[in-house]
Amino acid sequence: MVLVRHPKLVVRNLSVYYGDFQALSSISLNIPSGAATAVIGGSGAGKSSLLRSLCRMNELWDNVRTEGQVLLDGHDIYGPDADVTEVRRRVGLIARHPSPFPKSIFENVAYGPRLHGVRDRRELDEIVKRSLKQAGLWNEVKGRLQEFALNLSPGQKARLCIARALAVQPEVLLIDDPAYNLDPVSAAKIEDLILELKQEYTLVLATNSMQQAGRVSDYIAFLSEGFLVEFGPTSDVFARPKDKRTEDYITGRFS
Amino acid sequence: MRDRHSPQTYTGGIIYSSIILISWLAAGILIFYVGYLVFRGFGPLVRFFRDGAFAETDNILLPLWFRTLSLLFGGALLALPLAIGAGVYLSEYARENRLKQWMLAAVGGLAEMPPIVYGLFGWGALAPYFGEGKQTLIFLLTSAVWLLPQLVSVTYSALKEVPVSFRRDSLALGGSRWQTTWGALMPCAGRFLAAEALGGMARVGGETAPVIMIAAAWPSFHGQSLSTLPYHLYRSVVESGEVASPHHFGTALLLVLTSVCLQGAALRLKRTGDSLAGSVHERERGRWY
Ligand SMILES: Nc1ncnc2c1ncn2[C@@H]1O[C@H](COP(=O)(O)OP(=O)(O)OP(=O)(O)O)[C@@H](O)[C@H]1O
Ligand SMILES: [Mg+2]
Repeated sequence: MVLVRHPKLVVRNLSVYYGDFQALSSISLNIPSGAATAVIGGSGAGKSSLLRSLCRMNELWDNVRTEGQVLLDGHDIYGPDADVTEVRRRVGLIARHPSPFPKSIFENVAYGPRLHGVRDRRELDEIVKRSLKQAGLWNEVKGRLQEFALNLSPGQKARLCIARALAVQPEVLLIDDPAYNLDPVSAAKIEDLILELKQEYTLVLATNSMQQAGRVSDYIAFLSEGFLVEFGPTSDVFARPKDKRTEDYITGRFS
Repeated sequence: MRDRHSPQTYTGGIIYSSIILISWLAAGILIFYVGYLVFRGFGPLVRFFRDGAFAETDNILLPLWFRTLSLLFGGALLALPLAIGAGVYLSEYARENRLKQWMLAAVGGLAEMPPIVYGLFGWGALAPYFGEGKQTLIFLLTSAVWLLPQLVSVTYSALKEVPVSFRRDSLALGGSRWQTTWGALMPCAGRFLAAEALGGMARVGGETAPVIMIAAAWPSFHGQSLSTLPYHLYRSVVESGEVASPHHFGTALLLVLTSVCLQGAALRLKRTGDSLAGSVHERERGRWY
């Protein structure tokens, strides 16, 4: 196993089943803190399943069974004393289709802090401003926080959803397919944002674009049909893939 | 360009134009009917609101109208909390299993039941229990029981109608199911729910069967204290023996206008609700990812 000095998340023998179908097969992985880890693989490889099981979002389906452990700072998030809402606050998930709530820009960002008991208007103002700044959206929306969020452009919506996730002060951010369905300019903005965010947060990105993973990630985990095929620093995986399947994927030869 | 000589287009054209003709005919009959009602009823209704009563009958249409509306809103207010509770439970908490399927089927079946069955319930179960003098309460409870399954299934489907991403994102931010239901789902589903509640009230308000059944519990009873607009119309037509008096047309018009207003409000609410949900980039129904 690749040595990761300060793992934020330790995944041990994680298996996920949907009914009888096994989507993840005994994954073990250390996710380094303060870095961006890209989970790559083809469609249906289990990237989203892995991300969802890192924040206990998989169990929203009745037919899901999860086995194994996920340690967040050493504590099993599936353990008996784990508080699922607290786990989800600390590990934020930004899903593939970023869809703001049908509320104002302000209310979208304030939604999370409100869930966790922030009532003070001045405090909320602060949080909203800080989160929008962090998501690189503040300058574009600062004069119109009360406007309907669904009127924003797709790229702005994507950044608004990141701001909304940042507002609850997570420690880990899981981003499923960042820049999915965005024009190149908006996508580039999201990638720049990811480069900035990884200074402060532990990031896990699911993507099927090797190029994107190469540009923004420090580590790569390559999944194929629910198995973890390869994990290592991005430069190593690119330069000397250990597994034939990874090599094929990198060079664009899909089996 | 359409080829006018092709036989297929030709028969297609005939079918198309006859469909248009038939729909215009149907609409025409309706428009004629409503127009006739307005023509006959408008004068009496205006006179009534101006003079306070009809000249020929010393009746009290305004209090009757208020009673009808308050019975309707009262019934809906009684049913709503229970219905919302049950609908939220079925949609957000109950696990997917046989029991849930069975409950949904039962609720759907009850909602489709003909209104006379609810009258039967009021007549057979509530009337003997509460006794005479409690007609208003009996009618309130009957309409609440009648609205209940309708509103449960409406709550359920309104919640299912909300784009899945709202539920997913609220939970992912660390919200509980309870917070998610009230903070993210209800603001959107609430419009549909309110719309359907108004539509249900329009249906219940226009129905005589339950009132007739409840009134039947007391043979001597003339239904004065639980009279609603349609029931009043029915009785006054039966008792007057006249074919059609201005009074009847006035009452009928008031009934139609009330129903149209309720339905119109429902439609408006639904439209804004639709534009809210529809403006979400992708509705992703049934998918979390
Ligand atoms: N709720 C579910 N019920 C049943 N099967 C599911 C469910 N979610 C995912 N799967 C299956 O699990 C496998 C992995 O899905 P997952 O969404 O994790 O893949 P992915 O790598 O994210 O793919 P993509 O690149 O298309 O997003 C797929 O075969 C998928 O069909
Ligand atoms: Mg996916």
